Amino acid sequence: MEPKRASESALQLVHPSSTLSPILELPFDLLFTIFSLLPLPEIILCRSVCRLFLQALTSLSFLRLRPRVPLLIVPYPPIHYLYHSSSSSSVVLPLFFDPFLNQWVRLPLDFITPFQSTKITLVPVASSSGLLYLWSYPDNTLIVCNPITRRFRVLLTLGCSWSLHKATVIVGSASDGEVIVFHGLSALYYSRTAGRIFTYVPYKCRSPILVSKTLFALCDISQSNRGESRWRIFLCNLPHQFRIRAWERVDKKYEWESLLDSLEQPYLIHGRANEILMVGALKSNTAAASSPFPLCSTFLIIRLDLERLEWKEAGRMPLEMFKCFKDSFMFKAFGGWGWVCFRGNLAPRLAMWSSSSSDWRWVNDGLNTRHCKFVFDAMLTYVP
Amino acid sequence: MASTSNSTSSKIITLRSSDGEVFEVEESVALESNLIRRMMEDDCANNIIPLPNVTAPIFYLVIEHCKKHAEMKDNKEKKKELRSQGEELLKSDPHTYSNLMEAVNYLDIKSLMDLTAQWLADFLKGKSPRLIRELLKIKNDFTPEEEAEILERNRWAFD
Repeated sequence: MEPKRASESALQLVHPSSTLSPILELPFDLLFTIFSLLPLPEIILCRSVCRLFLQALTSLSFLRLRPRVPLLIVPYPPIHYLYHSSSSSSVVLPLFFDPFLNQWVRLPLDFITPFQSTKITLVPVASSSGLLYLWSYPDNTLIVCNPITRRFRVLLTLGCSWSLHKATVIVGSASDGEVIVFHGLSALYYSRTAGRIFTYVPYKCRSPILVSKTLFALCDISQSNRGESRWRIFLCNLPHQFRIRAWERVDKKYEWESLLDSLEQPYLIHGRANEILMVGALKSNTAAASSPFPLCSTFLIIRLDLERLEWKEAGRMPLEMFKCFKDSFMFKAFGGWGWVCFRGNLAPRLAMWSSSSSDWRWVNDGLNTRHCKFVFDAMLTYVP
Repeated sequence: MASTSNSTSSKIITLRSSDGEVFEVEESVALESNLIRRMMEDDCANNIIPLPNVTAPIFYLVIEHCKKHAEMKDNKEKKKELRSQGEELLKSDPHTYSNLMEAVNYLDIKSLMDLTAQWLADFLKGKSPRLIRELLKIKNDFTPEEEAEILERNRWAFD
């Protein structure tokens, strides 16, 4: 053994670079397999080990391989987080929660430098693959950023007549900077190629979603203010149909009317790829008296095929879970990329459904996750 | 003549490593490898199966771990033990680790692939880039400016 060691050290002296680490000699696909087992912060850390690691961990083929983990976002962090936030005092930070590792992820947004000396608050309002859209308050500006690569861009300034609390923001193609802001019955479409288009929406609408250049929304056709809503699915193709008279009703079939009428507080959610999910509480005459929504039996997830006008049940919340929503009278469903989360206004925890495994689970951190507003699909490559 | 399915437990497969060593392995162990399985299906089973990409010392390791893996199927404690062995191997002999990983990949053994990949992933967890470099003998090939930029961009992960 002795001579071998001597020769090795001699080699090291002469050609320090030739003693390449055996790990770096592994083929890329093996490195990918290994790296895909790492949690997100570890992936970032390992990028700074050496050039080869950096190259492997930023390559598209690796990023596609890595199982995607949705992060839950709490737009308004509780006060104690504000006080302990170490970064720039002029930016209020949202919180990110990894529901699988069950831990908070630190993604400070302090790289977004305020444009004026006054304190701004950045509130996440929407997300697309890898990108987060923030409403900067009080200057009412929309900013898009990738909190992982720490890059940002100002998308558009809305002006003082728009209020964050009344607005719903949805986003489409990131490369075109496509965004729609709903504000009461008015709506603004913006994209780099089409510019700004302002219009009114024909009905009170809820949970609009944008699926490859088509806007879908649930519209209340009852035209009444007495609370008895009748939700129907409408669509309009963007950008040329983004006009008040161009909205088309999708669900003219009788079965669709009864499906929509059987759901309490329905939501549309963008599924995987171009899939559209509809979520709601299933109305039932036989529901137990202790049920949350007095006449509902559970939450239902439905997969819609709007081309063929067909639908199929995708998931049903187990009764044990549904019981925990029993004190709530309002619930919110949100999600994307194959995840749906359920939040009740008085439910202690957040429930989560995965479309790939059809699993239902609780997100464990009871104190804060119930303030979550939407899911962010953290990705390392996307550029705002 | 005798149907193979009845005598699988006792059947012996003969394999030859790249450095000429001949191994006699129980079929149940050998069939963990999808490569060998495919070769057997292609009817090479009566001859010695050559493994031109695997040396004898590495093949010993592979067989050993295949057996261990088969033993601990339902044993959580042993599973944990096996998973923790990677740290040791990577610290003492990263060369053997990478040879083992490549052999497992070549032989296409799913269970060992998962295990060996997990070894390195576990090893990387919770270590600073500097420590990773030191332990795995990786040269820092970034310029100081590049390194500063990467650190700045990824600062959140280091807190």
